Amino acid sequence: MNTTDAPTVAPEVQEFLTAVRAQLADLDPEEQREILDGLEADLTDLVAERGRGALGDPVDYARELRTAAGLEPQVAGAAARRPLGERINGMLDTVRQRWLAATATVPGRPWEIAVALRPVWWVFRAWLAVQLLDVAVHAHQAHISGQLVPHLRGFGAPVLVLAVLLSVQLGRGHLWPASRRAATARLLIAGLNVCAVVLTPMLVGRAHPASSDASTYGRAYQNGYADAQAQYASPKKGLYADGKWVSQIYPYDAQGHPLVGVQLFNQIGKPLDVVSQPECVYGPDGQPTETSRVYYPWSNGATQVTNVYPVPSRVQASRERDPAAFAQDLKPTVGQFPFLSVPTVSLPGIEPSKARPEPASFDPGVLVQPKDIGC
Amino acid sequence: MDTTQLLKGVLDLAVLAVVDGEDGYGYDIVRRLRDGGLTEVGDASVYGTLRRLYSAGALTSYVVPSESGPHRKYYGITPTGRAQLKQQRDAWALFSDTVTGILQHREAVTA
Repeated sequence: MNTTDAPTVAPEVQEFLTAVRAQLADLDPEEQREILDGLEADLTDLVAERGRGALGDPVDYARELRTAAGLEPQVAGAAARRPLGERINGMLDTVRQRWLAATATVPGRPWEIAVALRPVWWVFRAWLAVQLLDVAVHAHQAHISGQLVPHLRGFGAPVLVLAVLLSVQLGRGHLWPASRRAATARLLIAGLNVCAVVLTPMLVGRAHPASSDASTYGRAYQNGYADAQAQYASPKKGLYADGKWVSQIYPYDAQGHPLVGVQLFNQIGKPLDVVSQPECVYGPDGQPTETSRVYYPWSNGATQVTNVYPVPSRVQASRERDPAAFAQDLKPTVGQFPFLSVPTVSLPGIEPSKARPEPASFDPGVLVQPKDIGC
Repeated sequence: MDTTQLLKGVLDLAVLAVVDGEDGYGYDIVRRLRDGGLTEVGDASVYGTLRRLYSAGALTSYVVPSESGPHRKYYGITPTGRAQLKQQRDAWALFSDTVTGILQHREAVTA
């Protein structure tokens, strides 16, 4: 990837020099010229003899150069005075140099394999871009077609060819010569590349599962995605019946009378805790109102106990629990049992509990169907 | 022992000495120092030293264009540089003898 300016200077040397120059930006131009003159040739020799990894960190290099030359160390803030673009360029160069230096020491030079495979990536990202364009043009289509040449209203083939050409030229540095690339362009290209990498598995996963070329990976991804979605929609905390969120339990005794303050545990003695969240209250027109039903769990004197039923609640304006709620006129109640009483039940030889509260303490209220969370 | 600290004090002398024999450009001088045994010398330290000695008038410099690559900046020693080299060489010899003497004396005592 030579540049048109000085075809004999390796781009990594140019980048390194740019970064060093940036560190000397606070010197006057004469001093800068004096200290940098000839460095290009010296660095070229260095790279030729000991590889690009020998370049090291341009910031350290510039510091060493200044110290040895007897110049003032760079004053703090000098870097901040440089234009933002130059600083970003400097940072990108430093990252690149460190990466190259780090990978140059790995046996077998795996990074060079990646570099050699860059053309494959250039072609792929062009194809991906055209696929996205295809999705944008056919608004009804929510996933990429996965076809080698997207339809794109009949222009699929020429658009794909054009995109591949553009992408390859960009990759080779012919659209933006590497030496003149502005920081914004570099960031933009890096950002687009990251987007393409991130989008790839998502698009593969969303490809139509019924289509003939949906891979096993695609289907597996689809399943995993669906599971993750299901898990997101129904967090494991709380109570569920038939897969539906349970926000309240109304116990009745064997005689069919409502019970209040029943503590429930499961088969291994774990409390059957309800997870209470404010619920939407619907008006007569079926629309959500401004008020919410807020639950106030029972207490054992020290802390809240959430496996005691029914859980008192009240309809209030705020979605937050009010610590003084039980001292107010509108106290939370366990009211609104779905049924005043239910049929009696019995089993021979089993003695049902008899203690129960007075029926008069209940307010039948409106029958409310427990709803899943959300409005 | 960290030889880079020692090197700092004598880098001027070493650079002047290798340039005194024959003019050279930056990387060439680094190579001569390394071949001479100063393997840990940093490129940037040498280049910085060359620039400083040039500013002080101890070195002269000229540019040699290259057909295959960027031009090279050669350095040669000036009479001022030669005088500095002589003075520093003597100082180094004295200093080196002194330190060696101290070390030998200590060795003789502990032996």
